[in-house]
Amino acid sequence: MTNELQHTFFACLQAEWSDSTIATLATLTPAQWQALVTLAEQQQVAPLLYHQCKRHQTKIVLPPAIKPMLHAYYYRNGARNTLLWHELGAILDSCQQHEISVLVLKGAALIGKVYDNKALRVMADLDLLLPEAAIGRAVDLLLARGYQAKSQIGTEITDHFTILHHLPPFVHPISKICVELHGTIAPPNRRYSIDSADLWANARPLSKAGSTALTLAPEDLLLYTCMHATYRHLFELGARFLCDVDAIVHHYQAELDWDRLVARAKAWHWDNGVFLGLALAQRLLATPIPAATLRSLQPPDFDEQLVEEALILLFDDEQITTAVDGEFADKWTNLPWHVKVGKGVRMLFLSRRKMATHYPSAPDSFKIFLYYPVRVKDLLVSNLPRVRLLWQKEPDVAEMIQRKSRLTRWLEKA
Amino acid sequence: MSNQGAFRINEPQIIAEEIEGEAIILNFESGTYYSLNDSAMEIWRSLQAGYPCSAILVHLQKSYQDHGEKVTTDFETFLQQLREEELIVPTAPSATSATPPLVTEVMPYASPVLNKFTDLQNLLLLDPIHEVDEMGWPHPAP
Repeated sequence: MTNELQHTFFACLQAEWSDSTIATLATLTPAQWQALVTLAEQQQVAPLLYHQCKRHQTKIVLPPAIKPMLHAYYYRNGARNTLLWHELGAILDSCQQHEISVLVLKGAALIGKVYDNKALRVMADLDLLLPEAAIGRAVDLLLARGYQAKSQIGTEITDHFTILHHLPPFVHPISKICVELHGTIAPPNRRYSIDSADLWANARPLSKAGSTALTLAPEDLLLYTCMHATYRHLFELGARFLCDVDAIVHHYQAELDWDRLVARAKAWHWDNGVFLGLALAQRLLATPIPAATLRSLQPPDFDEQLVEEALILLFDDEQITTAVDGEFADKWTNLPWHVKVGKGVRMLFLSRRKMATHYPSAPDSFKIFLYYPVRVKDLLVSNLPRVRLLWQKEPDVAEMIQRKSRLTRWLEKA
Repeated sequence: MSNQGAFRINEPQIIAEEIEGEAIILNFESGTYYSLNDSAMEIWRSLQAGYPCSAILVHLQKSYQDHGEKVTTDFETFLQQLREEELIVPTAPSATSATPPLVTEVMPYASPVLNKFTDLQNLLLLDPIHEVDEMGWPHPAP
């Protein structure tokens, strides 16, 4: 991929188009337009690209094949989000009837609160934050609506939150809609783990007919968007997260308390990730982030090379990105072999209580021991893609692992 | 077909939304969705507003006088399609005025078109970045 293509791509996603952007687009060949659309699709921002081109339709002429193609992405996403949005409404109504508080996260919160048009933001599923005490009842409601857990839900539901911040996804067998129930927003046992009580205290209403759902306060929404894309996904969410940052900042421009945002980022140890997310949005999408905010967040050891590394990961080959995450890359690169082996063994032989969150048996039942061989097989299957990648010893894979390791280390140093 | 009656959207099975002037009509149960061209959109809005079919037809005939019988035939065919797809069901008229408001800028006439798409279930299955498997490395038990 050329730098020119990346440059044009980000210029198209900026809230306002400059004269030079319009001049560049006027010179694109149909093949270059096609490359731009393909990139937008890969980065999950094709509906936004369509919308931007439509907004500026008096200034540019799209090749005949491009406009219907972009419109199809936009329209399909609108249909998909309409379906998800209506299902969200039904779930929220049901939760309200059972007096369960819900805080809507990620895509649904963004299309409900930030993006003016439901078709603009690509989203995968419905993410809901619930008080831990209400999780069991919420699971019952989803099961009553016909949802099925994608993997085993243990008898002690809250045990899952000692491993991860959400339960295994629930999928509806007919609509295929996926719902994730979160106990908090960051994984446990990390430097960047947080208690969600503060999020609830500052939550805002999410206008939704017939329900009293909440969503994050503007500062928390921006912080969470940056944290999720950096610490959690190490930029594999692509340009979509930068567009989210840009949309949040533009939507809440008059309301955002930047000092509060900085204070919370530091208190939660999210400052390096938040800085990098905001700095990228400012550079690539001209998002109006106050200079003082970036200065306050910028760590003393910040190196411009980190921006380049993040950009490479943003446009990385999907196979490598999804197979090897940042934490794995960090451990693979930096831990001695005997520690790696030790971790592998501990991963195989989980405590019985942890095993019960993965397999259908009570922790105190003899049956749980029968699942240890199953776990060996499951781990082999789930780790096969990354083992295959590491086995091939391709130079670009090794380089990507090193890059992920460096960024992960830097992010977690805050 | 009689044009005396009125129709309503077949809710809750059918969801209809208008996003920036474009209709998204969705069958919640089957996952099938539909789009409309501009002239179909004009009819759809009038149906949603509760106008009787006869009033909608009179309105279309006034707007597109040069197209005579074709307007009537197209309208009836389009209504038939909407019914066959179970997007609308008969109801009593509920609009507050007798005829739909005239469109200030009448577009060149085009037959109303209902486009049907069946790829939504496949789209819902596409989830390239989802965290589904949390069993293994790098999430060992503490």
